[in-house]
Amino acid sequence: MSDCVTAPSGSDAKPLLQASGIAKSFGGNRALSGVDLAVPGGEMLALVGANGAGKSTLVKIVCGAMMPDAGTLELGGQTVQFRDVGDAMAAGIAVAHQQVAIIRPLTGAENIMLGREPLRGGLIDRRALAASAQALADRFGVGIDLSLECDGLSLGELKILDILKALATGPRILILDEPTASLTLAETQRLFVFLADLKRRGLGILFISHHMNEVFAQCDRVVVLKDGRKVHDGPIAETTLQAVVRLMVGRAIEETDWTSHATVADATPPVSLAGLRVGPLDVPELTVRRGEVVGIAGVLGAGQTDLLECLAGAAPGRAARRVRLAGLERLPGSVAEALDHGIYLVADDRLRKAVFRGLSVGENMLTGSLAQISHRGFVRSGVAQSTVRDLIARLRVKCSGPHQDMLQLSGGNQQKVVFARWLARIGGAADSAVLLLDNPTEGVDVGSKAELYALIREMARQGAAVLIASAEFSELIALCDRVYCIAHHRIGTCVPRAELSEDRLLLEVN
Amino acid sequence: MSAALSEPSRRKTDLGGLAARYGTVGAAVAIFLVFALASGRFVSAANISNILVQISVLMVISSGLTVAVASGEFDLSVGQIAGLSGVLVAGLMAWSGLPIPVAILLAVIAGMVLGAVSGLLVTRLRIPSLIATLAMGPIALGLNYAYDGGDSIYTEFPKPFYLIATGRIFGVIPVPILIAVVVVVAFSVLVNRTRLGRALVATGANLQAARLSGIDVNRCRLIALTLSAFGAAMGGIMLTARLGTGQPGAGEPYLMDSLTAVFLGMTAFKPGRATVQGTLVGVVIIGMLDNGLNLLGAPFYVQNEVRGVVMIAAVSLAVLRGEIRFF
Repeated sequence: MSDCVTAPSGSDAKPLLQASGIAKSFGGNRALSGVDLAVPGGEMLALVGANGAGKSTLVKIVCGAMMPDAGTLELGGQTVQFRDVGDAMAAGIAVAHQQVAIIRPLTGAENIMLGREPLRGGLIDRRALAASAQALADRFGVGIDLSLECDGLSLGELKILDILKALATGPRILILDEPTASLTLAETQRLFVFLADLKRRGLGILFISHHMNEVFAQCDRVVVLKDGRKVHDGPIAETTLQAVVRLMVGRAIEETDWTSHATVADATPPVSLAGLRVGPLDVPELTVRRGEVVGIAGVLGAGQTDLLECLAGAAPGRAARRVRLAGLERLPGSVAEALDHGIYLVADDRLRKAVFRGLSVGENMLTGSLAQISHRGFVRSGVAQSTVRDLIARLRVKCSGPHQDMLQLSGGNQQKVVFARWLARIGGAADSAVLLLDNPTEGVDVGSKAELYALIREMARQGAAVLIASAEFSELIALCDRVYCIAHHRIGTCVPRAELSEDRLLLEVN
Repeated sequence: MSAALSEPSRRKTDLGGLAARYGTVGAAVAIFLVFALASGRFVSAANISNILVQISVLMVISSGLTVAVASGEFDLSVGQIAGLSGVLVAGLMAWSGLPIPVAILLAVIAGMVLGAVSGLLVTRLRIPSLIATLAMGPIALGLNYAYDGGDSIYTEFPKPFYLIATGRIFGVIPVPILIAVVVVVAFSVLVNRTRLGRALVATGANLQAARLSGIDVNRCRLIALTLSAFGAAMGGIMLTARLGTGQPGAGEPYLMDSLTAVFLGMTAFKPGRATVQGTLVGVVIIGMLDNGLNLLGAPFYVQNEVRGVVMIAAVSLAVLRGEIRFF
């Protein structure tokens, strides 16, 4: 590694934390290559980037949850190496994760002092515990009653408590991962007043958020990551929201030979929903015609997953006015019923919901079509083998063979196998299929991504109705005829292809 | 760090992979050789046949348990279900005067009903199988005592019943070995070659992914626990034939041994996965240890200690190589 001691751009003060030349790869995929990051005291630094840009990997390295392949970390001018989170915490780096780590049956004070309870004669000294917790709250001007159990607190209060707990170790650097993800506007504003105060006290804050408006309203400096590289680092005042979004998106999306395969006059579209409610998400209207690829844009966790799983018979939903789904006049009651009607879900969170650990590539491919490859209850091994071989060849799955352990494959190839599971079931033409794709290229490398896009287009060409939810807007733009946008728990605007742009989508979902 | 991330390094060490697959078989061979050298009587046709007869009951019970573990469920009731079916078959013949096949059938059905109840507890009330079957054990024991008052059933059984333990096909192959082979083959075909078996394995590998694949996971888990009880009941009946009496407590030790056999099996062939062929290796190891230590005149308590140590070794190896899901 070259000795690149460039001064942290945008700040004259010596940074509290300086990360230089950080690199990290997973398998063959480079998550980070040569990233520098400087966090000075008294500053709120925004770290932004599209999903998969390397934000979370960088944060994990900085907070000791992961070791970098290359690069150095300096804290207060001294080179440090964190073997685990405890090391980083002891050195003065605290993290408040997106999920609040508050245990609700405990009181606020007990939560703050968890694991560091003051003892007296081997027993917890309740009075000292309450006093130190209160002292911490007073120091940071937090007015929440710490003697109460946390059940009754609002999410915003829990978040502040969570941050207060992180502050109890006396950190110099505070990392906030999507702190406003589940907060209301008022709670968010209160949180920012609190954070501004922390900044005044000299803390260096690293703020990670998808919400560009917050970044521009609250932060001093912004670092943009794109495909594991730092592509921008500068004061907020010197850039614009549009410019940062463009940087996040990176290269202009190459306009390939996109053509719509949508059936123009489809009297009975395979997906036609009205007045559906799934969890907190309202779906006033949603249609997908045969051959059409329709997107759902929304920030992560906006309810897309629940909607798709509900349409696939895997989660309950409440139909209010009208459901027409692949010939069904109601929501499917089970996954099996959905499959019988040609509704196929490629779920998000591959490792948890789609990959069978320890089973082979072939076994993973065939779990969705056991009935199709069996005769009188016995698997026809010839049919099974030829199906698997054909699909491996057709999707160009890189594996040593049908017997290789699924977990040994790269993310992209695993995802191809997951798609293959339904191709095995669909067989030849996909003309009557309804494909529900939930973040279908999460953790997939660029090459496999292009192949999966081609596959999705091909299915649409054959007449399948494709509904795809993605947090990666470039993906929706690359694939979709139309994109519905989720804002405020509601599927609202439907942006036609002619108007699709990342800026537009980002604005619609905020 | 997850296994997926450390993959590239694994390819170089294919020898390591080979050791992982066949290490347990190697251990079985090593144990065989050690006892062969240590005791002149170990490698004789009579003794090997003896070992095989001894392990036949364990093999039948362990095969059923393997199906449960392969589908992600534990069954801690196999010992007590074996015990219950064992006294039932004795009582139905001796006290109720039922013909042998009817008595066997009823005893097997009784065991399977208890397994199905465990399955319902797991799938309907969502009680983890570890706990549902832990509770089913004492219930089976209670039914057992209620039936026989806690005493052994000593009466003379119809002569053909003893053939289950002592008969020989063509005067050569002992019947219990034949039964064990049939059960092993049947369960192995079931798991590897049938639609149901593949669905069971998928359910065990990832419940949620299986559900999203359209597999009726609750049906699979119910069937798996019923099949586990089937194996236990069969084993219990074989045990009664061998002992010549219906003993209320006869099945109990088989829980520990069958669990150990399945865990040992999870270190063989397909690391981290419960397979019938792997369990077979586990059962053979346990059988050789029992028999060999006996021949060497090891004190009885050594056998207990060895059992515990083997269980710990097996589980730690299985966990090292894969994931064992307990809940």
